[in-house]
Amino acid sequence: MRVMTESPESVEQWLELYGDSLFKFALARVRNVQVAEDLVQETFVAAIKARDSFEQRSQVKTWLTGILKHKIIDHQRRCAREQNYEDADTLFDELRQESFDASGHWQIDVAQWSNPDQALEREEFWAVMNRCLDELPEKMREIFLLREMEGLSAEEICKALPVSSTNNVWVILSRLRMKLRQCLELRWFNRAPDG
Amino acid sequence: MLSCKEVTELASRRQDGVLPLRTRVAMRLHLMVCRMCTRYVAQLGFIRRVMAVYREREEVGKREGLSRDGRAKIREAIRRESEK
Repeated sequence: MRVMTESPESVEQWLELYGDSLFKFALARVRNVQVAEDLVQETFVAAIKARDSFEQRSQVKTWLTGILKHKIIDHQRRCAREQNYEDADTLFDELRQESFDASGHWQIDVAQWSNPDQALEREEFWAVMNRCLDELPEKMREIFLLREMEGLSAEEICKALPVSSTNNVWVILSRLRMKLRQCLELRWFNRAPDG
Repeated sequence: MLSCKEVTELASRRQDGVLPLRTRVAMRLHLMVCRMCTRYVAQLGFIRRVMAVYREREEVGKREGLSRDGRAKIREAIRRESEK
């Protein structure tokens, strides 16, 4: 049976059944409530238009998530078009300067994190992690999320967004990870050393 | 001998692809004698695990779903589109 034979109410039922999980999926990737809701709306509208192509053998949720994924990438591409990534080289320069001496050796203490994995079960840790992610520059964060959430390679990220080179992607990822590390150390591990 | 600054960049790069053998060896030699970089590399590994859990559980904080207004707006959009 194809979905095109179902009544419009079915799509509303999908909203009840899958709306929240699609929203969370989008929010985890765009980190903006309004944008996430808009993308979920675009997904349902697109789903109505594309009902004919939906085969019942695939799961509705998987199908909707697939549409949403495209919407997210489109959104990121749209935003990225208005930005440039030329400033990757100076990203978090201050942090690097205070971390290393002139010869490139550490001049700060990289603290030992005790039992870091225990933090994964703590709600407070996730509040900190979300705050650290929110503090990253938005356009750079998108690169990090594409890498970590969608598993895109540097080459694929270059194709999806107007970043000039894979080397630039690697530089950005390296700086973001350094910043996240510092944020977690300051906000979590230095405050709760027992994890 | 690689500098710590270089090792931090390579540690990140290693998460995004395979490093040439010569670079891997140089990095290993550095890590054998540098406690701070060893910690740094382990911590980048932890951040990667954090992101894997984030991806799996969509740990976006307390927001469990659509707002009431957001849901109403989407429902309205579905109705409009269905009537076309």
